[in-house]
Amino acid sequence: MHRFANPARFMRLSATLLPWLAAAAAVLLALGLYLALIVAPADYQQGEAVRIMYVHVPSAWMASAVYALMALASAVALIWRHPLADIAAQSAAPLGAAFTLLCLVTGSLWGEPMWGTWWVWDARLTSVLVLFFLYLGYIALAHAFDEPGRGARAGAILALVGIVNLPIIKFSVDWWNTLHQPASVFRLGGPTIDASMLWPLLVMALGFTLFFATLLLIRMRTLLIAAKIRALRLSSLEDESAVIAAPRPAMQ
Amino acid sequence: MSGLGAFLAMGGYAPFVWPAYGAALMVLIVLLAWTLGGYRKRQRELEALQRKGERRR
Repeated sequence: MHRFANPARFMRLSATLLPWLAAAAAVLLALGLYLALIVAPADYQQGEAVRIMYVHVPSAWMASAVYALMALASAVALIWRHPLADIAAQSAAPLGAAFTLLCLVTGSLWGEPMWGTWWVWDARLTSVLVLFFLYLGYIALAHAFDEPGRGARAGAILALVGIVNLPIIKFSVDWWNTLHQPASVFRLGGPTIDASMLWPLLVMALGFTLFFATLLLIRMRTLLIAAKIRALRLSSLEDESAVIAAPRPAMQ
Repeated sequence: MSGLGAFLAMGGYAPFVWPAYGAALMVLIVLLAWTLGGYRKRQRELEALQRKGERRR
């Protein structure tokens, strides 16, 4: 594990990995779009509106999965002070927030024709809205301190406390009455969704995942470079103050 | 309706399906542009700093 903790090794490894990840993400998203819009059948109840599922469900999965990753990285950062963990959590946060927003917007666009309303304050929708605010809170806290290490620690604690929201999101459709339909893919007894719709959904979800992984690595590289810039600026400042503070040669 | 017309009409759900795909496309493109932009900006900053450091030595 600590072999990959070395930032220099991470920079090398991510540089080799990135072109492949990016290419795979592009191919899968293009294929997913084709399958979702052209190949997949219309639903017998929902008609063509069911196609919203192929962007709504992957973004919903990403919203929760990215949060889980962020909380895990935060735990690693707090417990082992792993040098890349804070950077991973901070890189993931805005990406997760964007996926959560996309999930809410596409869900609203799906809700209006199917339920007759853009929004209801039920358990599933409200808990996902809370997830969005947890992301925003994490981002705000991580930037709220002059010293980056303190912000990262405060953010990590919020991320860990907020993880209680994830099972609430997952099981909200079973625990409470809701307009939202229950799970049809990740459930005991296997998926209830037809294979002709499941495959496009899985391709799209994998495309979203690889897209996220690509951006995560680029953002982690960005934050590592930013840390290097800070260190260089600090050391050059010290050089300058050393010149000023150095005792002048005595006039003799 | 012709093939393309029917496809664009989405069985009457066009006002919901297309904005959903549009929002997804926009989010992915904005994330990509923002991520790459930030990366290049930091890279240029670092290169400028390193050049300055070399001149001083």
